Amino acid sequence: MGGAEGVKLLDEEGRRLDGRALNELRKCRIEAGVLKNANGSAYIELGRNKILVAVYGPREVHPRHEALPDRMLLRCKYSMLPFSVPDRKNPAPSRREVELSKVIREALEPAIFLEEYPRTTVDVYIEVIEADGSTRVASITAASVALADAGIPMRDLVAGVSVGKIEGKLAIDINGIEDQYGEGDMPIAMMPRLGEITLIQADGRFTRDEVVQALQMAREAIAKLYEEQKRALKEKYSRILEEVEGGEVVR
Amino acid sequence: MPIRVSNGQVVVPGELVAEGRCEVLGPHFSSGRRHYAKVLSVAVVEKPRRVRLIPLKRSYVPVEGDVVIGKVVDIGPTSWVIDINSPYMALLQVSEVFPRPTTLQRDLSKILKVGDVVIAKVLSFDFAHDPLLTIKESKLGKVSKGLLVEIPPSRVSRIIGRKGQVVNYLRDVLGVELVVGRNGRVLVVGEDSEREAVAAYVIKRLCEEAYVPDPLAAAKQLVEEALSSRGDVSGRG
Repeated sequence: MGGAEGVKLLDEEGRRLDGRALNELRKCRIEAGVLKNANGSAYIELGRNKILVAVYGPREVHPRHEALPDRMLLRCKYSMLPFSVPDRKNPAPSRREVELSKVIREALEPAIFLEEYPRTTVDVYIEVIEADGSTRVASITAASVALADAGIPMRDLVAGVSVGKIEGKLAIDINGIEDQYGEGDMPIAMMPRLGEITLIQADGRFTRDEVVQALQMAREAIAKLYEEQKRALKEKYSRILEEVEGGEVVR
Repeated sequence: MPIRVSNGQVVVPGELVAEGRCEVLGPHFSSGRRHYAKVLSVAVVEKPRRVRLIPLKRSYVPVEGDVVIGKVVDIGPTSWVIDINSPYMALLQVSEVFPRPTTLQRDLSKILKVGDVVIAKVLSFDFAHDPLLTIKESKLGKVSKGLLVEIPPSRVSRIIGRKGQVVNYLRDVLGVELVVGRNGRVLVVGEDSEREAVAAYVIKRLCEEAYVPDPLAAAKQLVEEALSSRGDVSGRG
């Protein structure tokens, strides 16, 4: 134990490589409506992660036979740009990207009122511009903002965070190095208001108590991310509102 | 306090809008006695116990009887496929164009070709079938001149205004004819291309803002601004 291959991930004071405490999120900034040509969009910076999400739809399904008679189809495409990682990534969709597209779709689906627009589709394109660990959960956080920005009817937003295990201790929002040399990684996504989990995966070994503790840590971090999501959406449109009304709300 | 939002507040999907006995208008859903916003919208508190949610973005869903402005995108053996700026493609059948039965040999592209713009009315629509259109009514049919302005479908009601006030105002002051399609397309037809441009500009500007409390006043101001600045330009030229 203690960091595989002798890599020290915690210092004497229990701080992580980037100086964070175990339950500290990286700096997170979300911006809504950054693209003009998409129906909805969002950009997230979580530490050194940079992810852009574009949402198109609801629109007609192509190919036609994929359309569902009673509900909307949700399609996600997660892809990493060739320069998003230190060694050039082949632009062809890898096994990992195909799988992440699927889990992200399944994490977003429960939040959407799919029955509102039958026989249509909503396409979510996620482009990872720079990756530094926990990109799948950051993508989910940004994608739900982009969906809301596109005017898709939803029960709640979805936010995600990963809990990792480094040197035997649980740490929230792990970065690339901690993911690589740590002992475990557990991405969790939730609908913050409802408190329901829409994604939970785990890689590595976690005891029963650790899972319970990880969920609690994730819940707290997700509440913070939820605030940032709301801020991003409201700021985008409140700014416009203030310009119209000269800064005051009319009675 | 049953209403949990302030007037003019932006609400995100899933945000609590009101609790208990109160009226919530616009896209929302309820769980027990709590009412939540369904889409990103602006909350307008109309009465102490009534709140209206105005969606910031919404795609057009056809409703029977709506007048829409469509573009021909494809021609089938007995119908035209019309893009009505909605997730659903509309069909305009030959029987809704000709009064009498016709033969299959008839070349439909001679009547409406791909790219033509039509003003049509929604005959029928349910989510299981694509909307059907008709042009068998006065003031409907192919468009031969004018400016087509595209606006977000969620902002159409603003262009119409209360009881058509905004449309009527623009018509009177600019001397242009306006056809507002419910699907977010506005056709401006005027004698003078300058006036057409002013009308199009005012419509575009009115739609830029997320929420305009008094569209008529805003329209008046925009028209005055536009006319005076144009006057300057022509004065100099």
